[in-house]
Amino acid sequence: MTATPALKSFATADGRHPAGIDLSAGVLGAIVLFLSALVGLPLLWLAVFAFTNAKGMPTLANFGDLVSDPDLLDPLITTFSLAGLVAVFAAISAAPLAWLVSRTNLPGRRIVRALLTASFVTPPFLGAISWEILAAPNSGILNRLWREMSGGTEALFDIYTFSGLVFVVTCYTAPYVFVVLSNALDRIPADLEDAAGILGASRWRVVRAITLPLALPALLAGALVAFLQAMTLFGSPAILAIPAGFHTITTKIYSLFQFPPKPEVAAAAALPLLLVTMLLLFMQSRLLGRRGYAVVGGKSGEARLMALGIWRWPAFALVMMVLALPLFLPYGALLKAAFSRVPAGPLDLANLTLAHVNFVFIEFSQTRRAFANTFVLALGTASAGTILALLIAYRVARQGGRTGRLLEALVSAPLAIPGIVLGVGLFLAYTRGPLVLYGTLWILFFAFLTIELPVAYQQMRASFRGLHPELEEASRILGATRLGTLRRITAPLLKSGVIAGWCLIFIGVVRELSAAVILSSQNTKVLSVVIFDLNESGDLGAIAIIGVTMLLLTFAIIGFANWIAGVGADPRRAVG
Amino acid sequence: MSHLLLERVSKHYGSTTVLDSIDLAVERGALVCLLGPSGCGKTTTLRLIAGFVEPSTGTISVGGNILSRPGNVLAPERRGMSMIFQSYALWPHMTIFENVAFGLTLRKIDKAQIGAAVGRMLSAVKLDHLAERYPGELSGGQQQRVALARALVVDPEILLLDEPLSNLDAALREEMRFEVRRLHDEFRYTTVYVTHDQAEAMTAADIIVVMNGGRIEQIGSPEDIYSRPRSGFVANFLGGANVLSGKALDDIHLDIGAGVVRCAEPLFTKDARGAFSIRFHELDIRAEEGVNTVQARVTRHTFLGATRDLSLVLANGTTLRASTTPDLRIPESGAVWVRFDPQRCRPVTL
Repeated sequence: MTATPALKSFATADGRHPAGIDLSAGVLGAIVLFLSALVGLPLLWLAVFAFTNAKGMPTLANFGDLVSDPDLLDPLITTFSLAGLVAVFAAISAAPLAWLVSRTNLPGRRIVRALLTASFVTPPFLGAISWEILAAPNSGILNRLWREMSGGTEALFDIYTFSGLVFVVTCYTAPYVFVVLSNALDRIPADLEDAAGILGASRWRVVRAITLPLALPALLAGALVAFLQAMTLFGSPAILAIPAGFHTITTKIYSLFQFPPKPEVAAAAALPLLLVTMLLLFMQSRLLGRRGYAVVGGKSGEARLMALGIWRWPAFALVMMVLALPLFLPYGALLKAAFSRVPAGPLDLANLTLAHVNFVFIEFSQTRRAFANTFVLALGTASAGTILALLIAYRVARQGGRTGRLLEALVSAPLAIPGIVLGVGLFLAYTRGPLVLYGTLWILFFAFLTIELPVAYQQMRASFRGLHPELEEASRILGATRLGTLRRITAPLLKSGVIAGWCLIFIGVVRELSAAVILSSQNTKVLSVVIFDLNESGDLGAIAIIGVTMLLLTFAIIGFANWIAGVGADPRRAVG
Repeated sequence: MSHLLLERVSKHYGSTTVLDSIDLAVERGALVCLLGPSGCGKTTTLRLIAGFVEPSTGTISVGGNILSRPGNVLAPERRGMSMIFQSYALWPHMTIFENVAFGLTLRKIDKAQIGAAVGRMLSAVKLDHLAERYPGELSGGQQQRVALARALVVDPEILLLDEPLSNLDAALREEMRFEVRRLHDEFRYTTVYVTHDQAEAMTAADIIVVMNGGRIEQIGSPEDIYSRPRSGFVANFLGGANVLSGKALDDIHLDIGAGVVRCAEPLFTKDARGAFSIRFHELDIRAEEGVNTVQARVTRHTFLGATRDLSLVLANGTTLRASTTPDLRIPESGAVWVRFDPQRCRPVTL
């Protein structure tokens, strides 16, 4: 063993040894400043506008309008009833689904899980438009079928109603509850259930007495997420409520930007939304941090699956029927609309057409630019956001301290800012000096970066937590520099987490509408805004083509990103 | 001259002192164990030597060259050391071969030589058949041996081990204790080994350094430390002992409250407080009074097969533990006399 030469080491410690690529004070300071500006500026302008009148004098009149003007008060009431109902229905529908997938031997559990996760990729506004195609009172496919079967003239469903809105929003919010709950159910250790079983409890008794109470905090937290989503959603209400003649707070804020614009009232209307969001997020973190939930996450044994017996296939049929509502029916409707002259027309050759394809890709001038804008923004935001989140997560995970906590607070703050509120704030901040960004893609880039940064950061932080510092130290002590360690040890081990974070940002940007609708201008329209515009002109076939193309491109890019991640990666990685 | 030298090394985190002015000298080729309970500063000492932690005061030098001093720490990768971590820290994305070869690839050695060196090292730890596996596919003991091979193959100036056996089950731990010692006898690297397990320290070490509360309590060979503990803490931590304190009547007699005990070594100061330790099996339990005896009452006795464990209480309430032959039968709450062999009563600091 003496053949190996020792390192050229043992230099005396005179003169400072090079520290490698430390996140030096300069870079760190720049990140803190950048984050503060990113989050702080829009909120500052929002506050300024909310408390001043059109002439710039300080006033509380904007808030007076908010509670006295029925045009503003009604949307507030509608918003909270919508969010409350959606939370309840999402919890009711997601809970059995999560239990069946996580804790029973339901056939095709993996596929069901994948399908529900895939419904995240569906932008909610596209889902809402699909349901227009399905259940508009006159032209809806389902209503057409119903009339043919019954021979009557009555519509079976009317999607342009408050209950229709609740239904559609629930369809695309329930997956959030499902994910939170099924993660919790996956982690309830089997021995907690066995302990009840050995004391004589029947299997159903165990579910009722042990499993459900343990999962209850997660269910409540999931319902809170659903409430938040429904409250801050813009696309679905704009598509379904405005034609029905009512507003939610987000669509009202949007309409306050239409002619004649009243940004100060919009700012005042945005503040309660911001405050309620912060309150709910606080409640959620308390709920998930409680003692009872700490048990979930124990490391004792895998979750045990319950045999459904003769109920296996009926349960499967039920799950498929539930999945039809957010997935099969809407996607079927979209595909049909894409290639039909009349969306609700019969399925025959006479109705088949490529006219929409022609319109979208040849005649309609906005399409190509919108595709380019969307994917440039998505790629740019995903890449910049990933790097920023990675740097911050590295700093927080490896050094911590007060600066770490400040960084973490800053990077997580946008979680509490609904997209439409951020849109209003950014609009107010960047339509005036010193930095006029309105009318450029930059304002959209900053909006998307702000919105997506918290999610990316959480992903990176989780990756770093799974990476034991000793893995890096082992490399250092054997002679690798800080940079060499980053390249040979840290980067390969973080790769899958980084790619996942990148994909999350990418998907988030493509499906973002609420900030984009306020911030994009004639030349900076993104796909979501183009779809939104086309919906106002009732061009469902074109929307279907754009929507399907957008989803296919998104899947292709995500697939490509994961393929890159897979090249050279070993399937048998398990941290010892 | 000592190879590795720590002089007045302290480490403070804010107002907490983790390490309080440590002096330690390690000879070339020696295996030194830092032994102590958790929080005693032994791991901090190791990380200071490795260069992961900067000292608050003092210097660390190897072969006369200063590697660490406050404000100036030579980077870990330039110290020519290697380390075995508590978690093993095997890189899950590399094969066993790649893990072991990692340090050599950094030293710009040609491939054939690396292959040969890694092969030799893997057979030394009896893992040559697993070279192409990944760490996740190995058992705990095998992972441990990979960590050993990876650390040894670079021919380190100094080898550091941080509780390397604490994640293994009891049987494997015992086997690996001897393995560590065997490999040390084979390669003779200057080694610093951190553990909280006294049996591990006794098996492996040339020199044991007992640490407590950020200070060094005692340095010596395993035999020396066991048979001549200088403090009650050391006596208790290594092998367990009764520590009795009281007022010294002269340099050899101590009044422990329930009687007067004579020790052989004249180390007490008249009228000052003093203490001595005596091992459980060194107490002599007898039925009648004799020379250097104190009366006691048996509160509990437990049959342990090879020995019998007695709990005793003295007249002033002091409790003692004694380990006797199993055939000694005394009724519980029975009165006995405890004889203190003066040769076995070792004065210790309080």
